[in-house]
Amino acid sequence: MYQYLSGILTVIAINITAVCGLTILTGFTGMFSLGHAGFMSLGAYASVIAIKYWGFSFIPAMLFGGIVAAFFGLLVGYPTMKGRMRGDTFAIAMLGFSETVRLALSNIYPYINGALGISGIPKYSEAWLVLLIAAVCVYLTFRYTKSKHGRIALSIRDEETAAELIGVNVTREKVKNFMISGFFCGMAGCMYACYYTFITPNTFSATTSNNILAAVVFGGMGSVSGPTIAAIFLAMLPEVLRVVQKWRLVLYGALMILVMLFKPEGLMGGRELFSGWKMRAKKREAGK
Amino acid sequence: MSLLDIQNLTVQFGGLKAISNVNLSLDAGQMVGLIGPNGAGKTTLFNAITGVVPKTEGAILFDGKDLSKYKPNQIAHLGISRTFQNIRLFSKMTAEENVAIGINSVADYGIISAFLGLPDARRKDRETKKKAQEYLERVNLLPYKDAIAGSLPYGIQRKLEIARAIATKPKLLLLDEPAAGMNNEETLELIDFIRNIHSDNETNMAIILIEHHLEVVMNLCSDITVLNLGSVLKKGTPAEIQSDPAVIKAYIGERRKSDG
Repeated sequence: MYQYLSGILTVIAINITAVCGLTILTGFTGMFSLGHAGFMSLGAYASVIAIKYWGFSFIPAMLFGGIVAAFFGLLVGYPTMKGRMRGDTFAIAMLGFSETVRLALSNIYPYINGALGISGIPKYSEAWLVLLIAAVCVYLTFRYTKSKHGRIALSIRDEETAAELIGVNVTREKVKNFMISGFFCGMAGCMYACYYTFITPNTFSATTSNNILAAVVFGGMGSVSGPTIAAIFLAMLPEVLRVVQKWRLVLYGALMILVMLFKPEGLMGGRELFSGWKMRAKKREAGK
Repeated sequence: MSLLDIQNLTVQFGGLKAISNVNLSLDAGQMVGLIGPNGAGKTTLFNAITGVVPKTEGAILFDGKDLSKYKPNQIAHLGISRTFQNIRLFSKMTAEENVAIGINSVADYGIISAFLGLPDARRKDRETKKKAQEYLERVNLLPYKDAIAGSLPYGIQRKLEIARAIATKPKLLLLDEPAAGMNNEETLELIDFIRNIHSDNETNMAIILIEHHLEVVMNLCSDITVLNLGSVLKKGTPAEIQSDPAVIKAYIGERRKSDG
């Protein structure tokens, strides 16, 4: 039972970390991506190589995985953002990116065994540790989105032309947020690899990308707490639905349709869980 | 030297000349009206100045710099700011945040400070917030500071867009039909509003005003340029413009012979 629970908690923590990254890109900058599993894959492979061949310990390897993913974010991000890709074009380009990553990794044999994948990865991802990392990520993301960087990202999402004509360097801001989202997903990939101890190029598939994006949209665009809650909820739901056995994935899908039907702005809309408290604090401040 | 100097500007979209051979110059602190029937190329002229559409021929000099070498966001930093015919506010953000982006369109601290919420970043956030409130106060919009921009009344949104534009401290402000869709009362209020920001400004801001409501332009501008079909039809004072037969013809059409 303990094993089962800690397994679910670990999956939740991994999802939250990846969702934090994507919420900065999708929820705040307004760029939809169908391919962030590609970053998880790159991060996982980079960190596993660092652990197995270079003797990195867990946290440095995780950060290294994030940095490698962010670097690929720069490589992919600069030409796509410079070419003014957005909306559906960008989402499809990202789908192409994750497929490219998957196929490229399948065909590289030295170090990573091509399609066979890497096994025997040390199991570093303890539930408490990854939960702690996820919590830190949520806090950092929250701070970032409240900062000027986050507000500038929002201005691009709301009205790109106006933002540019007021002096926002749209290309640079987009690439920056894209790289940050890649960084978080790369770290999530490392946590994943160090939990399952085994990765192949197919581990991070289009389904993974869809699940992260679903959590962001489900939780609410322009919110950090919403997608975090959604990540927890979406990771737990298949487990809770185990009681209905083979119908569980059908119900999972149906529930998602229902939520989007009745709450199209997502769980939190653009608000945060604690914004009510903040408002009250502000009023107190004003009263002084 | 004049602040803005447009020389023989031509902007062509495929075979269509949206602007052909337009000359226009403007001194610091001057307010100029730009009028003309629909499709005369007024907004295209704004788009060319702000770098949104590329020019085909001619030159646009601002402060002696050739604007075609700059990207739209760089042109904003050189000191040109504008509003839009159809309001383009950051509709999901508060009024204060809208103005704050105008004040600081490039964050003045790094992403590490932003992630960690370092004291330096928080201090700079507070400073910008204070400045944003000062701007809102100057245009009498302070009561709306925490309101979501998209939910504000139409007239307020227009003013907020102007407040956001002047928060960039421009040397040249381009107003694209600020009175569009306003009733008489709101229009009169807007005339006062524009006059105030023009006279109140310590940076000696110049304004180009596109407007269909002729009373707005006649009221505010000492110089008016009339565009028609992409070229300059007439330049002059309000009185000269109002009595010019070519302008009347462009606006209301030609008088029939039999009417005298």
